[in-house]
Amino acid sequence: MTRYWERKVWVGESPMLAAASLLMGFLIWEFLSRIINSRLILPSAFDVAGQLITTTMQGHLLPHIYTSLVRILAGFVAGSLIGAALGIAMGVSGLLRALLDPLANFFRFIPPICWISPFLIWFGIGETPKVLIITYTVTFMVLLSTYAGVRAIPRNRIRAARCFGAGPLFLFFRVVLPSVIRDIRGGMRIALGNAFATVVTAEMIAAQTGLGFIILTSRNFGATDQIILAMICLGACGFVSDRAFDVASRGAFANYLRS
Amino acid sequence: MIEFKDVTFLFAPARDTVPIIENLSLTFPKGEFHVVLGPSGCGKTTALNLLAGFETPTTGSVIVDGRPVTQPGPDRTVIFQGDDSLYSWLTALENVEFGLSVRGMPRKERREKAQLYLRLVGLVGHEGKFPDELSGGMKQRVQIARALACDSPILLLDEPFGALDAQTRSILQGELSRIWEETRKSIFFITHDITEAIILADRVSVMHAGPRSRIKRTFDIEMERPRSPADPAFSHHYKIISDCLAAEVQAL
Amino acid sequence: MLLRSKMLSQNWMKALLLPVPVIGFLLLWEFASRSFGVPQLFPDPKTTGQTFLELLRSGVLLSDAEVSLARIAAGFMLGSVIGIGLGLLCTVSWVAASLLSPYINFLRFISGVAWISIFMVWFGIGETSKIVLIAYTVAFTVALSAFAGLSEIKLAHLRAAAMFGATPRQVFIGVRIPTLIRSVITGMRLSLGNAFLVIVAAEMVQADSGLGFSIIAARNFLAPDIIFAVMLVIGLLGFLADRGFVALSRSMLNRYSR
Repeated sequence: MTRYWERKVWVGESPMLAAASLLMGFLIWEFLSRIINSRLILPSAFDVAGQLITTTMQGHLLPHIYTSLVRILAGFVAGSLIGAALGIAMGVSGLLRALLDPLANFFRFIPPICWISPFLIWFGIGETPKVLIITYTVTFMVLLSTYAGVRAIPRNRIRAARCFGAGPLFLFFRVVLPSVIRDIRGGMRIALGNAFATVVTAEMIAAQTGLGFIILTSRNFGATDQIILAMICLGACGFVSDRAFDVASRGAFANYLRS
Repeated sequence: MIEFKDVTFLFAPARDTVPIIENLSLTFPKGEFHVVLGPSGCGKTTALNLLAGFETPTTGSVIVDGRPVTQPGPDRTVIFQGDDSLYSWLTALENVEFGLSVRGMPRKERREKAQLYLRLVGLVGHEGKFPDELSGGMKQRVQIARALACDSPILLLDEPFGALDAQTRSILQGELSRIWEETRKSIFFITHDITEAIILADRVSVMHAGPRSRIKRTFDIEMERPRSPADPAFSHHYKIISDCLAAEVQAL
Repeated sequence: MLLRSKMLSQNWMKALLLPVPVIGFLLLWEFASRSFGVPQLFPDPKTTGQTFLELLRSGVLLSDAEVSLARIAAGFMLGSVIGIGLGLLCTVSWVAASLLSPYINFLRFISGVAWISIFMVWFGIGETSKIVLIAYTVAFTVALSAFAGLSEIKLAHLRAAAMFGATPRQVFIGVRIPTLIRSVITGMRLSLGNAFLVIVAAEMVQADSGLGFSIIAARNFLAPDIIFAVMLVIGLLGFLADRGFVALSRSMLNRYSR
């Protein structure tokens, strides 16, 4: 048994407790729903679970999940590329930093939801504005992390390479880039979570399908059970994606994640 | 011939008024093992950075073989204090190969040369390890191997053994001495440890305490190598250098 | 690269260069607005500026901002307390941490926006649901940051404390809590930004007052210049709130950020 001073935090250290907690939560939900006895306020947990199974089997749910996931993926990839590129550029070039920093710091605070109306006007009701909203969110997160990473590169790494006669191109591809992979990955991981969270906002732009669409429109029918169902799907997909990203990126870039 | 000619350096010319080093002049011939000794903050690392080309003097110039130094270059390789100049995503072998790959040396040749130098510094069997799997002493050896593989005529070392335990330090000092005797490179070595200076140097320059520092006095060490602290000549040198340095340390 | 950035890191240099991105952006905006072709749908900077001043003068902007900010303030304080409490709980009890972890890992992917409808059902259409929404967002972000920060506790710190014979309680107060403060501050700062996001969304969905409502109203009346003006205000307020928070936390709790 570890002594108390060695006990740090165990996140997921006890997967059994975590699973038990979920089960307990489910049962408590069912219990509460019976007491409240209103489908609108809190639908029965068993009902929702049942619906989840039937809609999936009937094939109604999957198109929605698919659409949302595609939007998220597109926004995530685009945003990560832009964010990483800008982050590195700003980290490396003092000039770019002085120029772009004030803009980035201002637009960061304009919530994606504000952009719905302008995007609607500029880009119509297609996929573009929806993906753009997600891209917007992802870009800022990745940019911030990447930028911090570039600034944190030990100076001696650059100096050593210059001693060996490395030119700027070599420096960039063989020193700067490998050094920031870790930070880009960290930023991307958080941004993935944000992308999932933002998909609901994105699908406010005249979406006809998607999990966010379900959440938004179920409100009009008082179909709380649908809302909860979509939320569970979103959470589950997010969780799985996060794990997948974690494992895949760690495998692919194992060497670059060493400290 | 390596020369510091009347060098003055301010970190931020727009803001600072007091230079860390002022009118510093120092000359030493090729093939000499020159050690610079000084109290903390005296600007010895600054002097090294100027010679390496990482910084340029505010006034005066650093001249190597008749040409002023403005940029880092493969003729002056640096071994840094600490381990943050090694690349964490490369194995020991790949780190040593790094300098060679800048020059575009073909893979096979690179690999062989790198293995040779790792063997030279005594790291056989550790080629495939990453820096975070190596001890402090081993990481310094990788740095040395990396620097040697580039075969530059001038080596600059910035308190390379400072973070190591006494035994490792002693072993690496011996190895460095041996390598110098074989290759006769020009070595510019910084330390605050008098014993280390006497063990390694042909000549030792003692710096004033900063700021506005310059060379106080240069001592010849005419002892046979390998040198042992038990030698009476050793304690003689130790005393005079120590007195010279103590005055500066007290000034702090 | 190294030489120029030394010059550019001087504050006066930054101040000098500041007009460049601002003017550049305004020019870009002007150009985009012109080339869009339908001036009513894409207002140029000048129109937006005029609208902004008008709104300011008529007091509409201020009353909207007041309403939104009041909600944010209330929700932020409530949420911070809950979030810090949860963070503390997880620090103390690994059982609690394990029990909570699946929910935290799961809900991370569902933003406050999704909860708007449900909260409206549970808490009605008044102020309560909005404040609860913000409190939820803030609490969640703060708890998440605290959670993440818990693993930052240095083993060496814990061992040093044990070496001095510290009781578990002393370890808690002397080592765990200071480490927690740092993550909590980061979380609070992050959640402040999220709070803005969420309140605007809530006000847009459940339109009765506030900055978000103004945007919806402007959309319904086809007044994109108002939309832009309000967006600028939101951005500005968010920026100021963030700076204010940073300044405040630095002055009071600077030692914990090291």
